[in-house]
Amino acid sequence: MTAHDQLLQQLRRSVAERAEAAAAAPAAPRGRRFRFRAFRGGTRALVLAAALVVGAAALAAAQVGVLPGTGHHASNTITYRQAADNAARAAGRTAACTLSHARTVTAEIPALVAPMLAGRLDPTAERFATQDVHAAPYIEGSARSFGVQGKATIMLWLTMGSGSATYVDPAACGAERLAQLHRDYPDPDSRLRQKAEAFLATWTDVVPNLETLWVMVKVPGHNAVTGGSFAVGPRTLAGGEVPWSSSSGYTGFALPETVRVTADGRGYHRSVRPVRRFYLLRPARGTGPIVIRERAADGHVLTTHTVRG
Amino acid sequence: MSRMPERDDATLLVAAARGDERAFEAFYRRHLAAVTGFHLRRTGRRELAFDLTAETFAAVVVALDRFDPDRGSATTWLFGIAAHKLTDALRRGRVEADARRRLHHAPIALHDDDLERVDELASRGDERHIAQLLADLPDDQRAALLARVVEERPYDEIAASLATSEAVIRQRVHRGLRRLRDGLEPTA
Repeated sequence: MTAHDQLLQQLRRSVAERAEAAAAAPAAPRGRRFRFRAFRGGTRALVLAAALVVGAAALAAAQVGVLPGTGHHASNTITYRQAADNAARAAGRTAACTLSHARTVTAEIPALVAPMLAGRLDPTAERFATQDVHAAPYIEGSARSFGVQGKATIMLWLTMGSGSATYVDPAACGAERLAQLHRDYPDPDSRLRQKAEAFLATWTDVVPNLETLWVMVKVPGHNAVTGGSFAVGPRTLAGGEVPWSSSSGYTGFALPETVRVTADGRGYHRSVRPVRRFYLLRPARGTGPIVIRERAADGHVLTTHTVRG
Repeated sequence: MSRMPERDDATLLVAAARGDERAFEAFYRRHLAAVTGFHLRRTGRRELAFDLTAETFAAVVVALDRFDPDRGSATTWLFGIAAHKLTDALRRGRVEADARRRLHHAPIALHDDDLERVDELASRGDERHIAQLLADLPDDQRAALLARVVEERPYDEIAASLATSEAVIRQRVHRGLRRLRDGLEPTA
C-alpha cells in the first residue's frame, strides 16, 4: 500500500468517525450557532429524559459488551490491524505517548554508524538537519557532509526515534498501547488480540533508544534534495542496495566490504568507488536497465542489482 | 451505458460532512494532484510536500462543518487551508501535524516510490492546471506565448506571421506569462 493510499484510508476513516460522533452527540442545526432553549416539560421532565438517555446507552453498551464511545469494538469485521491501530490511537492520549518537541538531544553515536560519521561536524548539514520537517530530535554533533560522484554532496545526521515521531517515553508508550489492547480485548485466547499484539510488536516507533540515520543527497544544479533514512540497526544498515532514485540519479548504499561498484547499461558504463559506503550514479534519461555490481578488493562480485535506468 | 453525473466540490464536501466517505474520497482524488503541486512548487522538497498535503486534507476533514458554499468556492476554501498550512510550516521551520494528531492519524513512512508519486502528482496537477490557464488566455496572447515559449521562435518572425509589430508580440507574451504566473499562485 502506498503512502497516498494510507493517507486516503486514514482520511476516510476520520470522515466516517465524524459521522458516528455526530450521530452520538445531540443534534445541533448545522451551520448555525447553538441556541439554548428551555425544555417545555420543566426540570423534572428534563431529569427524567436524561435518565432515560443514560439508561438506554448503558443497555446498548451491555448488549454489545463495550463501553459507550467505543463503537468500533462492536464491529464483527474488525481486523487485527484496526484493533492495533485503535489501541495505539487511544494510548496516544496518554502522557507517555505525547510527542517530544525537543529540537536536539545528546546521545552516543552508535558504533555501527561511526565510520560513516567520521570527521568533523558540518554546520551546513547541521542547520539542514535541525530545520528539517521530520520533527524528530537531532542528535547533537552528528551532522556530516562529504562529496561523492558528480560533485554531489551527501549529508548525514542522526535523529532520536524512528524518524517521523518521537514520544516522550517510547517504552512506556508501547506498554500503554498493549495495556489498551488488553482492556479492549480482555480474553487472552482471542485470536484477534494475539494477532494485534504481534502486529504492535513490529512497530518501531516505540523502540527505546532507537536512532535514525538520515541521508540527503544534494546534486549541483538541482534545487531539490533527495534521500531518506535508515533505522540504525545491523539489518537495516547491511547495505548492498540502491535505496533511492530521483531525477538526480541513483543513490547506492554499498556493503561494508565493497571497494568498487560497476554499472553497465546500454551505452552507459561506470566504475565508481563508494565513499563511506555511498555512491551516486547519474545515467542519462532513457538509458534503460542498468546492472550494478558491487565488487570486493579481489574483484569478485558481492552483490548485483538492476535499476530501471 | 449511462455514467453517474459527477458531483461538484461543494456537494461532495457537504456530503462528506455528513460522513459520506466516498464523497470525501472523490474530493480528495480530484484535488490531490493540485494540492501536491501547490506545496511542491513552493517548498521544492517532496517529503515536505507530502506532509503538507496530508496535513491540508486532514485539516479539511476537521473543518468540514465550517465549509459554507455561500461564502466562496470549495477550491478557494481548500487552497486557503493549503496556503495557511504552508505559511505556518515556513514560519515554524517544520510541518505541524495538528490536524492529523487531532484525528489520531498514525505517522506514514515514505518510501522512494511514494516520493516519485509526489513528483508525478505534482507534474500532473501542473499540466492540467497550465492547460486550463492556457485555454483561458485571450487568443492573441495564447498564440504569441506558444510561439515564443514552446516553439522558441524569434519575436520578429512571430510578429511577421501574426501581422503585427514586434513590440506588440513582446507585450502579449509578457501579459500572457503574467496571467499564467498569477494563475499558478492560488494563495486564496
